[in-house]
Amino acid sequence: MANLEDLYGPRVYYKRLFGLLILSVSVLLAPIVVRDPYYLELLFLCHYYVILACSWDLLTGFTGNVNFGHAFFIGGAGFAGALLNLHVGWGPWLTLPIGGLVAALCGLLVGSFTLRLRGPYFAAVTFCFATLLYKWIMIRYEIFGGEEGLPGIDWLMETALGNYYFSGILMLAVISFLYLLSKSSFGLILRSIGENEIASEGSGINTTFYKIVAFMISAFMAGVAGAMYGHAQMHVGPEMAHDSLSALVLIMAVVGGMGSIIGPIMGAYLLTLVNESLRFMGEFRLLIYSSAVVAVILFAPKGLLDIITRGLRRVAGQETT
Amino acid sequence: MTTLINILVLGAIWGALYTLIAVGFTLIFGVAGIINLSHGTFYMLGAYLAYTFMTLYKINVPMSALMAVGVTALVGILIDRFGIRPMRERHVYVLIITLALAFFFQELMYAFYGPHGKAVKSFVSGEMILANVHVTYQKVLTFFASGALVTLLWFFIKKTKTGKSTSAVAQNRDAAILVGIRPERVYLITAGISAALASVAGVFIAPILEAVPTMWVFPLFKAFAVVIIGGLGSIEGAIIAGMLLGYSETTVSVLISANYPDMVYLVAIILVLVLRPRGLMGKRAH
Amino acid sequence: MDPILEIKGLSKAFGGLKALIDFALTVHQGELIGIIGPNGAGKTTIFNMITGFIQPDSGDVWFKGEKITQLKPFQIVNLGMSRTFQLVDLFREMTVLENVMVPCFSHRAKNHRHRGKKPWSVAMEFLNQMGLGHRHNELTKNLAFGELRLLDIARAMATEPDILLLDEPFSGLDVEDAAVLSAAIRRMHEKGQTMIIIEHRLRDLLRLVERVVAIVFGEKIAEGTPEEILKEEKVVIAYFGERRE
Repeated sequence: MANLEDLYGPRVYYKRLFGLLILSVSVLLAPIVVRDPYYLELLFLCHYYVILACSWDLLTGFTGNVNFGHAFFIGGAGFAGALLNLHVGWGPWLTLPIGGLVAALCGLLVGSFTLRLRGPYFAAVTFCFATLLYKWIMIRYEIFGGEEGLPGIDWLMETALGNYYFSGILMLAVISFLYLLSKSSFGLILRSIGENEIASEGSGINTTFYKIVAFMISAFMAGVAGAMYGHAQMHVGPEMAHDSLSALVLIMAVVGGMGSIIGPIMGAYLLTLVNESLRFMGEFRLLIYSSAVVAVILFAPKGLLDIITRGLRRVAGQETT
Repeated sequence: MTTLINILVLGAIWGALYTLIAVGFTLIFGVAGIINLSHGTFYMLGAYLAYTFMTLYKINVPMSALMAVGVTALVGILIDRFGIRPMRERHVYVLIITLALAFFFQELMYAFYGPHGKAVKSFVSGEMILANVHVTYQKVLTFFASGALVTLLWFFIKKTKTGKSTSAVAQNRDAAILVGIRPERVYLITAGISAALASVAGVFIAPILEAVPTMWVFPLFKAFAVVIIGGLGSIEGAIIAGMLLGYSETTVSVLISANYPDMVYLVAIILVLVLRPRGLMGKRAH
Repeated sequence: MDPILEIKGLSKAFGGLKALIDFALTVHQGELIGIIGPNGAGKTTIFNMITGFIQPDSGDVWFKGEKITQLKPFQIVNLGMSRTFQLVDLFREMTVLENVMVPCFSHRAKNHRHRGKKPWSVAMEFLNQMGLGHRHNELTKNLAFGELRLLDIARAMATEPDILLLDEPFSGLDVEDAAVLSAAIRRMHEKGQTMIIIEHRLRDLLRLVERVVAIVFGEKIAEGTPEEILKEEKVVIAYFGERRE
């Protein structure tokens, strides 16, 4: 069974991690070429959005439960970290993991009530919690700073270069972890849930449990990223808990290709860079985005990754099904 | 006493409005099994088209209303045929694509009409006074229009042949095919009716609230809430839940504070899903 | 010997429709039992209730002495009851081998697995038992219909069930595939696998089973050996209509 070991044994990790290696090297060495802090900050944003998109994709891309409220974890942990920093004086090395844990706990709470339900209920509730948090943040402006948010947070690293590396290494760690997870039995089970939840349950899998765990991991990562962002910008604002952020993360993962790790990575990089260069378009940006999403779903529902893979296969002369 | 009348009257009006918006939403789910996140968009289109025809082109009210509803119904049908039909099997994609379309139309409104609210003149001017409470005739008209349309829908579903075929597809799609009903045709009709009903709400609301490009958001969520509380797929449930929501919000707004009514529906959704996911009269989702 | 499965008074109504009325059945280890009846008689409803996918209105199910009526489907699988599905709906975008690997990660399979054995080699064994080993790397959506049925059985067997429920396994199969399936079922029976088979196609079923239960409009109308059943007046009427003189 030589080729089975190839497909499922430990060697598979080494082969496919080659791409990750290339990415790591690029991330680590890029600042040699890129010196301008403006670009370093832009790349910081890319790293940030990669973490957000990949964490979102872990639940929705694999199990098919759509999360419409990812901003709940991002903004929630962002504000939690900010408040801890401003009032208790804790630095990023504490606020980031705590922000993540708080987010994960919220994920556990929300998930245990809703992930056991079939149908669109989970999507609805995630949206509700995100909106509720946003409204609460705006209403209690004396705590959360209203529209302006909370300024004066301690920095993450002292320079743009520092932020770049911190976020870059965090991003690589997240990607590696998610990659290993997706190739493991856990990933296989999550995919089976997304494919056919009834068959998965009928095969003896406690689907609710796995969905909740995936949701918690997803929440934790988004929370850490949110707290990190707050420190890097030295400011948190209500836009971190707003629907448009949830929508943006969703769009990145969908356009890139849900259910794979590479898809959201590509989507995040692409859209962050496009977002910047389209800044002059102002009002038309969202119009272009939404048209892009519609087009992608209708013509390439599996995202850019799928288009690229199929194109490569055709070039290599293999059969495409 | 004034407060009570205030609540009773306003609650009824908003309740009727929510019901009108929600019945189309629940109809689509019951029949086609999908959640159409562009539902709020139809409401918005109703309002903007009413503005365009009535204010910009100065066409008379009944004609404008008819055209607005007709155009929106067409948009609804096109979205179903070209946006949703290819993806009907994969619910995830339907959710995403309809949401993307909603954002698309929002931006389109920004592009055509700008960010400022567009006002429409009331269809009937003046107001009545009920025990010291002022109620504009426009609001009264909205209430009766909503009631009439929901009743019409109910008769359509229960009594006409086309209506009954939608009911058949809702209950058992395969069996409906066996008796000669074509589900795709039923889906298109349902999409058209659903969009039309939502747009009527938008048309009547335009003189009361202004038309803004983000106005699709709140009816979508309220419709969602009503449908979850009432039970997905149940028209009776949507009616009861719509009135319930209208009254709850009005009560909170009058008695507690104007800040909070917008949280009522969110809390209601969470409570219902935790305690009785089926809703008041829901069928099981397939 | 105690029965492995006991069903008593199982009933279910959907709205006004009485899908199943007071169904009872006792199954002993090693038996191969068939449930027959016209379409809509309530056969799949029985399976759905035994396996936890639907809650009965009344009645109970005991499996190996334990009451399982209120348990969730995955819990029942982990106790040792597996089923296939009438509309074969596997994991289409995953490979054939992956389809059988999923159940290998259930609690039950993990406990049964010998130390050091890899899940994929265990899955491979089940595939080979169904004659699908050579297709292990194929995407499930590319399989032929007959192969899909065998794959569903391999998937169900991968949790090493004490009792296997097959839901209309012969439906849609041509003569060759039906023969392959019959042979597979016979092999499993000879190895002592307890099985209940729901089937609508009489000929294939009656050649395999030892005992038959006939259901019409939700009620059990007859029970006995295949020969006895075929002679039962009510069964004949249900399938062929009133006898005309």
